[in-house]
Amino acid sequence: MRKLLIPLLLAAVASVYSIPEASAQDLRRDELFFSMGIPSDGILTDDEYMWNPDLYYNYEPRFQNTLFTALWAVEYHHFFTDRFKVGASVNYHLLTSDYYHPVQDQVIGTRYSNIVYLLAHAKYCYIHKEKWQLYSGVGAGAILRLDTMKGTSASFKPGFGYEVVMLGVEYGKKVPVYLEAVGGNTAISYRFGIGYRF
Amino acid sequence: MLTVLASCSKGMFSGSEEYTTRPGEGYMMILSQKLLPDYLLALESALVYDGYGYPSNADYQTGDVSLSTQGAVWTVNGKKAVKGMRITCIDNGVWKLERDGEYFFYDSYYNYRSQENDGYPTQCTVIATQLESVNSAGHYNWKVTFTGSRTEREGYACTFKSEPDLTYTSTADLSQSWSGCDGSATMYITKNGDKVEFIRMDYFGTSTRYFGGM
Repeated sequence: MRKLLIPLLLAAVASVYSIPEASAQDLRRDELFFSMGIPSDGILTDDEYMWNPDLYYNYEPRFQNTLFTALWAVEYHHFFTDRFKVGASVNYHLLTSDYYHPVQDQVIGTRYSNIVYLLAHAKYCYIHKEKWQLYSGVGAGAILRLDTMKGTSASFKPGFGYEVVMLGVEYGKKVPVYLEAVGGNTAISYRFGIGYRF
Repeated sequence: MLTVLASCSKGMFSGSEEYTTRPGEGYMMILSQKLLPDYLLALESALVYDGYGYPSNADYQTGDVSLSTQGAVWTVNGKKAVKGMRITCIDNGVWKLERDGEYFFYDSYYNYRSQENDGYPTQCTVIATQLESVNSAGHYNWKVTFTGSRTEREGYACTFKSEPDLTYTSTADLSQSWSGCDGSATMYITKNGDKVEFIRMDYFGTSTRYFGGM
C-alpha cells in the first residue's frame, strides 16, 4: 500500500498543473485538520535485539514486542501569503512494550509510553489553487514522553522533535483532505487528514 | 538425543541433561559462527600468502619463514577483525592461533569496520588441524580445539572451550565460510563472579542443540 502512495502523489501533482489558478479572494486563509500518521517500520520499535552480541542484552530484562497506535493529530494552518502558511500541531500516540526476563523466560511487565509531539510548522506551496495545494515544509518542537510500567516507576522524557514534509497534496475547497510524505523523528512516513477551511 | 552432562559440569554450575532453549544460546552461536571462523579465515589467508612467498607486508609479519615450517610464527598485522593474532606452526598441518585483544562481534575477517569499534577484551587459543582441501582457492576443512574467555560490560564475563573439538566442513562454492560444524562446546557465564548460566552446545552439521543450567 505504501509503495502506491508516491505514484499517487506524483499523479496528483501532474493533474494539478492542468487546473487554472484561483483568484486571491477565492483562497481561504485558515485551515483546521484532523490527521492520522502512518508509523514507519522500525522507527518506533524499542525492542532490544535478542541476538545482540552482548551478554548484558542476553541476560538482563529487556523490552520487546512493541506495539503502537497511529499518530493522531490536530493541526492548524494560516496563510500569511498565497504561498506561505504557518501553523502548529498537537500529535499523540501510544506505545506498549513487553518487559521480558530472558532467564525466567517470561514477561514480567508491560510498559506504556504516552508520547505527545508539539510542533510548529512552516509550509511553502509550489501550487496554490482554489481546490489544490502542492507543498513542502518543516516542523519543529518538543517531544514529551511519559513511560509507565505497572508496579514500577514512571519516567518522563522531554526531547526535540522535527519533521520534514517532503511533499504534500491537499484537495478540496471547504472540507479539504491531504496526503503527505514525511521524514524526521516523529516516527511516521505518511500522514493524511481531513479538515475545514475558513 | 541425550548427552551426558558430566563433562560440562564445572564447580558451582549444575543443570538439566535435557536439550532445551537457553538465553545465551544465540550469543554462543556467534562464537562458533563468527569468532572461530575469523580465526580460520586468517589462517587460510596466511597459508595462501605463504604459497606466494612470505616477505612481511602490511597484512603479516612473517619473520621471513614459511608458515609450514614447524616453529614458524606469523602475526596478523592488517586491519582485520583478528589483528594481532599469532599463528604458530606446531606440527605438520597443525597450527596454534592465539589472540588476546578487543574483538568486535559485528566484524568479520573480510569486513572489518574500523579501529574504533567498541569490542570487548577477548582471549582465545585455537589448535587448528588441516583436513581435506575444499577448493583450489585455499579453502579447507578443519578440526578445531579451542579455549577462551571474554570480559564485557556490567560485570559480565564468559569462558568457553571445545569438548573435545569441532570439525568445520565446507562445500567448494563457499570460499569465505563453512557450511557445517560437528562437535561440542561449552560456555560458562558469570556476572561479577557469580554464576549466571552454563550452556553446552552440540553441533550436528547444520543443526544445533543446547542444554545447560545455572
